[in-house]
Amino acid sequence: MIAVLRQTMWSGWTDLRLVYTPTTWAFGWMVRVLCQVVFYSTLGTLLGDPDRTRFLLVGAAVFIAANETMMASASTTWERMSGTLSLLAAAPAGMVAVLAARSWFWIATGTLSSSIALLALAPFFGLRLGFGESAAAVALVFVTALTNYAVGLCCGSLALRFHGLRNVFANIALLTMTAFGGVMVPVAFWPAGLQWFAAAFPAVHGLAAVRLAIGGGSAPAVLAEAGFAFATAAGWLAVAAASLWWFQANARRTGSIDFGD
Amino acid sequence: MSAALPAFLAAARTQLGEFRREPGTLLMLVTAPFFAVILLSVTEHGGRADLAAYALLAPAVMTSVGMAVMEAGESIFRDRASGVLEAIMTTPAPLAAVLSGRVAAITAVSLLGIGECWLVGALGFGVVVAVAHPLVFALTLAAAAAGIAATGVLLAAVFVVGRNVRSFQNSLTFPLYLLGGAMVPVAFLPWGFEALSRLFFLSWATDLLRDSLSPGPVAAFWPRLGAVLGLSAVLFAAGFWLAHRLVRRVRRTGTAGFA
Repeated sequence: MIAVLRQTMWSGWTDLRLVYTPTTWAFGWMVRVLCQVVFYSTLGTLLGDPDRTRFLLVGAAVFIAANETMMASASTTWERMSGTLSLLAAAPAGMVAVLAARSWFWIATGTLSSSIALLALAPFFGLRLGFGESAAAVALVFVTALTNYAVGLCCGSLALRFHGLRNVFANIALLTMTAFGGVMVPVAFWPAGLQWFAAAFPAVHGLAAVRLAIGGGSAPAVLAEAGFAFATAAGWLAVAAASLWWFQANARRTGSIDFGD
Repeated sequence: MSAALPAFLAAARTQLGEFRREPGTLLMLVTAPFFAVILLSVTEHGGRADLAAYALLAPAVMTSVGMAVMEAGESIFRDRASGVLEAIMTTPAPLAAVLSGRVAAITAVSLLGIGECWLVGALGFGVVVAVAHPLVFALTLAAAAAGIAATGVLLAAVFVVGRNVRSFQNSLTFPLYLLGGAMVPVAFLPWGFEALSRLFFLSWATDLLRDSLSPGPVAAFWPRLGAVLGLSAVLFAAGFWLAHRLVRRVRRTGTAGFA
């Protein structure tokens, strides 16, 4: 099992090097990330409300971590494109662990770009962060990325079955979280049903934890939100694992794995 | 140039067929209502009903620009992968006509986003945005659509140049939304960015579209429309020039499949 995970993580690392070179990451992706966060933060400027500007900045920046880990949905299907899916189905190690671990690199890049966006843009939008607050924010951004990865995997397991819609699931999930998860407006703005729905997403709790940590919230309150993030992520991970396992079992039984397109 | 029009029409038809065959290509139309909810919730929560039109116009513009950027790149990538690009290059039809046909179809379909966003406002939030100056709105929208199509043609031509450029495709949307003043007028951007954005037709177009929705008079309409059209024409010219040069180079070196 350890050997399988080591190989998988190495394969993920080589995938990452195909996705970005240092140049395309810095001048492509990071420029987009910064523009995206500025785009939402200037909404606060338009409304002429400094508190709202800071709220939007934190929400938009932290959700970059959610945005990138949702890309696990598309990268789960890369095995199909590279033709290795049928080999994985035949291998004794099975594909569940491999598919679940292969996209780990989005957690790393998501944490990195989200943290850079938050810390670099904070001074421009009137958000003052001390060293302790910055460190706590980065740690909780990592928690957000890590826990949201489970949601990305769930979308990935669907994307394996419906390849043509591989970007649709992840985008809808991400935008649902962004709309109702306290990213742009407090969760309390929405009807109670939507608030409960939003609470099912780990990134919503991760973001709430970041807001508490940099807004002077108590440590137990921050840890409780982080705990909720992990608890909901466990649920999503279980669903993702079941869905991947079912995909593998079905693919082996019907021999249809290479004809999913 | 006699082959240009049939090529344009055939490319537009092919693109429409692709939308039907692969629903995933309509992703931006699926996401448009979500962006409308996100942006409108911010202005509503802020108690700024006067900005509702901004919040509903922005996702429609983003959808159109986003589709031009993403789909133009994707269609070229698919043409290259399936060997269609090589076939196009051996025909007398200019590549620019083929790219324009595809992008024109993409832009036309993307305008459905306007209706979607209006409906989100009306049905979801009870916010009905009226068009105070319909003629200004229609003319500006037509000019903006031309500019968006021009952006798509230029980018598609750039994407033909090389695969490496494609990794920037995903990164282009938000910088363009920001510089194009999709939601927040570029006058709110720091000075350097505002000056830069004034070279981009979209910043003029979005300002005019917003003005066309508000009851006050629209100042200097024709010069501003002229700016949208002029800057769009420059983009078209750049796209056509690049496509032409590219075809010449690739025909000489025979690297269509390996570029």
